[in-house]
Amino acid sequence: MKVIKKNEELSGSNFDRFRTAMVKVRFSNARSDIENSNASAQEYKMLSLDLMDEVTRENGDNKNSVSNVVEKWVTRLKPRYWQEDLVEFCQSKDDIVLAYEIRKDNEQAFIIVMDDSTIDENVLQYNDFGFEILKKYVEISDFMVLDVITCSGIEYMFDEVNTIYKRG
Amino acid sequence: MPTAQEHKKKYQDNKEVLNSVFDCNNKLHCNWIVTISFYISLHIIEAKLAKEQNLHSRDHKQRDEMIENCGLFSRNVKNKYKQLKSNCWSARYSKNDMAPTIANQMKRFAEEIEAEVFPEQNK
Repeated sequence: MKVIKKNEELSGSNFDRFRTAMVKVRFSNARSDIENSNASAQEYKMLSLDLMDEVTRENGDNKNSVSNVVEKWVTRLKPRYWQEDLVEFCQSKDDIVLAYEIRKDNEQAFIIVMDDSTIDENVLQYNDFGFEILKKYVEISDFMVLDVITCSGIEYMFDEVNTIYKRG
Repeated sequence: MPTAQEHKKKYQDNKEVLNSVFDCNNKLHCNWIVTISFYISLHIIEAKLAKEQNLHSRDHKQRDEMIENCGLFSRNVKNKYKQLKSNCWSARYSKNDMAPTIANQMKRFAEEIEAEVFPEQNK
């Protein structure tokens, strides 16, 4: 995880907006100030860390409602790798034989290999899934849906081919 | 850069060649049927991009981005075009030849893309 330096400067207006909101006793009145702020993710990280330090100082490491909220967020933000999504998807489909991770010219992509790609409904659904992965993970630059015949002997086209799913 | 009309002429010429020269039941023709079907769909896409938004792509990657972001194409069209592209790639680089079933499917996908993108062509 990237270490955030305490001495990084916060932009003055965002910090003021945040400070003004948080020092008010009635948080509900300050909510719109927070919603309207345009602080960067980095700034929010710093502010969150400051708040967590403060809560820890006051409450020690005992669980409280604030730490429950933090825990939920951390769980939600845990990095999920695209391979996990792909394997999970392949496991849910009977006609997916293999999935490859491929690399070429420093670009990363994947191939789904079906028993038979001439079943429209399935092949189109798997392409749809491929587009979802492309949208979700910036590190993936492309994908293909092929079948056991059309994907035969294509390894030479790539720098690296790794099997990430094989039907049991 | 080609106009929408020029792209239309290209895909119609390709269709003419595909229908008059190639036979899906002839295994020797299947790789070419898949390849031509992909280029038919490519020119249909390019014609639509040029006509509706004056967009012109330089390569496959840029075209893919335009297809994704222009808002002109349904998921059905995007998925069929993507499958045509993948099989066209395989027709050129796989050690196996395309089967007649796939050649038929890809030819049909190109027709279905045309029917959805330019419905007036099929009236």
